[in-house]
Amino acid sequence: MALIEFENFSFRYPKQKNALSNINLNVSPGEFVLLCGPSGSGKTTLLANIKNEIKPVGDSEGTIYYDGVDIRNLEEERSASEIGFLFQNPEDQFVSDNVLQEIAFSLENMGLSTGEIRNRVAEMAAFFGLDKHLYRNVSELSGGQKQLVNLCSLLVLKPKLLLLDEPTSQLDPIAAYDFLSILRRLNEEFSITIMATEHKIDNLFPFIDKAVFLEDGFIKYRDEPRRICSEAWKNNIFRNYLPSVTRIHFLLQSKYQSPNKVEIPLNIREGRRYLSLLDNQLNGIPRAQLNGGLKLNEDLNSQNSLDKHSKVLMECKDVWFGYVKEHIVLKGIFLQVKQGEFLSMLGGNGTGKTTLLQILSGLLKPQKGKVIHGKNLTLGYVHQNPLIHFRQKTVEEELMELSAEFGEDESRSTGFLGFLSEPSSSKPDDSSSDGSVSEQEREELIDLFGLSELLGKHPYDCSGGEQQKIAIAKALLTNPDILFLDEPTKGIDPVSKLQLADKLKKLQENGLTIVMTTHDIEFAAQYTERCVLLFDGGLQVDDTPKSVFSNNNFYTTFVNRMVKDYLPDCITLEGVKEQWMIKEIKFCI
Amino acid sequence: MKLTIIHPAVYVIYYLLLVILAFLYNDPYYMISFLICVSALIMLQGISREFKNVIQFFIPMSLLIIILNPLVAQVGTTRIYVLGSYFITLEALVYGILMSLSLLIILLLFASYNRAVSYQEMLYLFSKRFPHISMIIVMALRFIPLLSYRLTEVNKISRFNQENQGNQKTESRVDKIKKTAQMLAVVVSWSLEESMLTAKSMKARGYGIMKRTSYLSYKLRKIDYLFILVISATTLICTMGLANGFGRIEIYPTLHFSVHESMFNPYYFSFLFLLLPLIYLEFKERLIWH
Amino acid sequence: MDYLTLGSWIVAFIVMIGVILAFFRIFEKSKPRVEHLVLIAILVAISILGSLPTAAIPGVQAASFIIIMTGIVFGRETGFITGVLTPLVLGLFLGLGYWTILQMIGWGLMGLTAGIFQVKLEENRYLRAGFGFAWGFFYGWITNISMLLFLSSVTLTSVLGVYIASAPFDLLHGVTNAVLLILFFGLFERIFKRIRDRYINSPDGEAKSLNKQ
Repeated sequence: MALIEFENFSFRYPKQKNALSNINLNVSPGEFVLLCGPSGSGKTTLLANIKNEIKPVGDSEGTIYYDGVDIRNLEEERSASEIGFLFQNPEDQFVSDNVLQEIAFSLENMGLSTGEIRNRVAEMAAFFGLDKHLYRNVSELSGGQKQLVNLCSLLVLKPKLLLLDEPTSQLDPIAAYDFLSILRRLNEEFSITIMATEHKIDNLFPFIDKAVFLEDGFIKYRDEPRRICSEAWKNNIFRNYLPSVTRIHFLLQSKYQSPNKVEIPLNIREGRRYLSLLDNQLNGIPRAQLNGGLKLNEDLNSQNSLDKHSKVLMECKDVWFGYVKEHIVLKGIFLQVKQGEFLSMLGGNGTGKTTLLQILSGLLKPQKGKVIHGKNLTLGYVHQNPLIHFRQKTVEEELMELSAEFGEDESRSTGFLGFLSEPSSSKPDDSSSDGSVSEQEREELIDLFGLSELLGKHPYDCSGGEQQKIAIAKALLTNPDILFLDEPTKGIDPVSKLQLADKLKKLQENGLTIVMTTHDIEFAAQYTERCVLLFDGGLQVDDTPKSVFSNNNFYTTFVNRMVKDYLPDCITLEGVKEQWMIKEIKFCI
Repeated sequence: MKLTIIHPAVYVIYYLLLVILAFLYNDPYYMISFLICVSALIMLQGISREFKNVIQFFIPMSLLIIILNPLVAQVGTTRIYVLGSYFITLEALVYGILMSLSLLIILLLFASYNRAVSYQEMLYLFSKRFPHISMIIVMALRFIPLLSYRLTEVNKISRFNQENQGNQKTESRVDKIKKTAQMLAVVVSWSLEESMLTAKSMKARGYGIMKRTSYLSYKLRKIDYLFILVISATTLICTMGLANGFGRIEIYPTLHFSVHESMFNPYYFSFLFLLLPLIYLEFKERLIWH
Repeated sequence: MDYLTLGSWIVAFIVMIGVILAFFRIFEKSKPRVEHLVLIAILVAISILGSLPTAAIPGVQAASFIIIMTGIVFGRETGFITGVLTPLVLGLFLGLGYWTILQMIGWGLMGLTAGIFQVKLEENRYLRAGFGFAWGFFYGWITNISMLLFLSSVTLTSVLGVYIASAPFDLLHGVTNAVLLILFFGLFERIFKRIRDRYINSPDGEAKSLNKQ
C-alpha cells in the first residue's frame, strides 16, 4: 500500500491561479522520490501540503492519503512525529542556542519523559557523531553541521516520511555531498521514505527510485530515473535538469550508434563504461580534428583571454586578514584584477573566499598589506544573501532609491552600460551617462534582467533567483567598473542560473569586470575566464578554468570526470559538443 | 563548564535569603565578614568579567548613596556644619557608607548567582508554569548573536554604499543616527521575515500540540536536603539574633557603636555558618578538578 | 534598614513580581500562536541589540524606541510582554540583579501604555514625540527606585534628590526616544505592519510566503 497517495489533488492560493493541478502520485514505503522543476512550479507547495501543520492557506480539491488516512484527518501527534519536514535554510530552523537543546526540542514538544528524551538524543548523537558538538553554540557550526542538526532534530521523532525542501541548496558541494550520503543511508538502511526537492541532482539521481518533474503545477514527467531521462531530454527546459553524464550520453547517442543497447548512465562509473563501448568510434575522430585547427585555436583563445585584459584595475599586495590571532584566514595574498575579465574564486568552506571578496571590494580592511586601485573606480557589491540590500516597499522603489540620494558630483570615464543605448559600445564620454545611470539606462537594465513584471512586488516576495537579479541590477545602477558577487548561484534553479549567466556574460562583453566567489564548479568552468583557487589562506592556483580543472582529478566538473580519458582538457558540455562536433537538437514541443 | 552542585531552586532560595540579610545587617563587623565571604565565593567561582561590571556599576552608585543620604536625611543628632548654618549629620553619613557596603555585597551576590545558576536551569524552574514565555526567552537568546552578525554585515554594506555612491561628506550626529536606524530597519525587516520560517519549523516539529516536557531534570538529592537543613537552622538563629539586636547597630537618632563590643556570640557564628556551605562546596570542587 | 521599611520593600517587590507573573499567566492562557512567540522573541532580541554596549551601533539606546513601536503596532499585550522580557533576557546575558525587576516594570509599562494609546499615537506625531519624551523620564523614575532602597528615609526630599541626580540621563533618553519616534516611525511602522498583516492577523498571510520557493 502506498504511504502517500495524491488523488486528483489541486491547490490554489487565494486569488491566484492553480499552484497545483490534478496531481496523482503514489509513494510507496521506503521510496526515495525526487521532485524537480523551475521556481514556481509547485514543488514546495506540494511538499507543504503533506504536512498539516504548515500547509499553505488556500483552496484545495482532491485528497491526499497518508497510510490510508485522509491526511487532513491525521492526528496531530502522528503528523508531527511521523512526517518530518526539513527547510532549505539551515539558519532559520533553529530555536535554541545549543545543539543539545535543539535536538531535544522536538522530543520535548511530544511530551516524552526526560529518560526517553535522553535515550533518543544519545542514540542520534552517536549515530551522527555529534556527541562532541552537543554543548556547542549553534552559531559556531558550519552550514553542513547546522543542516545535520536540523535533520537530527527530526529523526529523533522516528519519522516514517521525510519531506526535504532543497535541503542542500545553501551548502557547499562537499557538505551537500555528505548530507546526501546520509539521506541515502537513511533510505537504504532504515527504509525511511524520502521526498525531496533539489536543483543540483548529479549526486542524487543515481540512487533515487522515482523522479517527478513539475511544470506550472502539473506533473510533467513521473518515472524511474533512467526512463525519465529519455523523456525529459526531449524537453528544452527539463533537459537542463538532467545529470551531466546523462546529457553527454544523449549528445553522443544522437551522433554515434552504440553497438548494443545500453542502459542510460546516471553516474560517472556508468558513464565511463558507456564511453568505453564507443571507444572505437570516439578514437576514430581524426586526430587532426581533435588536436588540429580547432584545438589550436582554442588554446590561443584561452591564452588570449588571460592576456587580452592587460589593464590592471585593482591589485592586492600581501594581504593578511584574520578575526583572531590563532586563526588567520588570509596569509599574504597577491592578486590582480584586470579590466574586463570575469574572475571566479573557488575553494572549500572557510578558506576565505568571502573574506577576500570583501577585502577587494573594500567592505573589510586588511590587517596587513594593501589593496591598490585607481582613484575614480566605482565598485558594486552583491552579498550572499540579497535580502541585505533591500529596504524599500517595492522592487521599483528599490531600483529608484539611488537617484534620490545620488548627487551628480562625480565624473568617470568608463560606462559599460553605454552599450545599452549605443549599440557600437563605444565609450560614452558625454557627461550624461557619468555617475549614476540615466533614466533610460535604468529602463534598459530592468529590461535586461526581466524585472519589469516584478516592479510592483515587495522584494521579499520574489523568488531567490529574482532577488539575486534585483540585487545585481541595483548594484549596477551606480555604474560600477567592477562588480563583486558573493555566491550568486546559491540556491537558484538551473534555468534561472542559465539566464543569470547569460546576463553576466553580456555585461562582461561590454566592458564590465566581474569578480565572484562560487562553489559551483560547473558555473565557473563554463562562464568565467580565470579561476583562482584558495587554500590554506593563500592562492593555490590562478589560471584559466580549463587548465585549473583539467589538472584536477577530484575537484573538477562532472563532465571532465567523465570524458577525462578522451578529452582531458574538456570541462564543459559545450566543450564536449565542440570537440566531438555534435549538434544539439532542439526539440520542438 | 559549570558543575551543578545543588538543585537550582535551592540556589535561588539561598541567594534570595542572603540578599535580604544583606539589607538587614548593618553592624560593620557583620558586613565586613559578609563581604569577605562573598568575595571568597566569587574568587572560587572564578569571575573576572562580571567583577569588572560590578565595580563599574558600584562606584557611581555608592558615591551617590554616600552623598545623597546626608543631604536628604537630617535626622541625626551629631551635626557637622558644612556651609554656614547648613549641616549634615554624622549619622546619615555613616548610614550612607554602610548602605553602600550593602549595595556592594548585593551586587557581588548577584554576580555570584549569575555564575552559579545557568540560564537553562533558571528556565527549567520557570518553564513548568510558563512554557511559552520560556520558549520566547530561549529563542531571543538564540537570535541575539544571529542578529548581531546580520547587523555587522548590514553595517559593512552601508559603509560600502556610502563610499561608492559618492556622498562622503562629513556627517553630523543626526546623519549618524539616521544611518544607524536605517541599518537597524534592514536587520529588523530581514529578521522578521526569516523568523516566520522559524515559526513554521517549530510547528512542523509539533510545538504546542501537547504539554512540553524538558530534557533537563533535577531531583532533590541528599546534599540538597542537608543544605536546606543547614541554611534554615542558621537562618532561624540569625533571625533570632537580629530580633535581639545582634548584627544591627543603632544609627538614628544617635550613632551608637563601640569597637570593643565582643563579637563572639552564637549568633555571629551561626551567621558565618550560613555563609560557609557554598564556599565549602565550591572549594571542594576546586580541589577535585584542579 | 529597619524591619518595617524592609518589610514594605519586600512586599512591594513581591507585588511587582506578582503583577508580572499574572500577566505571564494571562499570556500563557491566551494560547498564543507560534508566529506570535517568534515575533516577540525577535523583537526582544532587536531591542537588546539596540541597548547592548558591544553592539555594532554605538550611542543610540534603541530599546525604548523598539518597545514603543511594538506597543503601537502590535498592541498592548505584545508591547508589554516584549517590554518585560527585554531586560530579563538582557539580564541573562549580562547578569541579573534586583534592578532587573524594576526595568521589567518600566519597559513593560512603556509597551503597555503605547499599546493602550495605540490609535492616538499612530495619528499624531507630536503626541508620539511627547509620549517618547515623557517615557524617558518615567522609565528613569521607575528604575530609580533601586536607589531609594539605600536611602535612610523615603521622603519627598530624598526622592527629589535621586531624581534630580538622574535627570540628565532621563533627558537624554527622552530626547533620543522623541527624535527616533519623529524620524523613523514611518519606516518601522511599515516594516512591523507588513509582518502583522501577513503573519499575525490574517491566516491568509502564510499562503504567499510558501509560494516563493
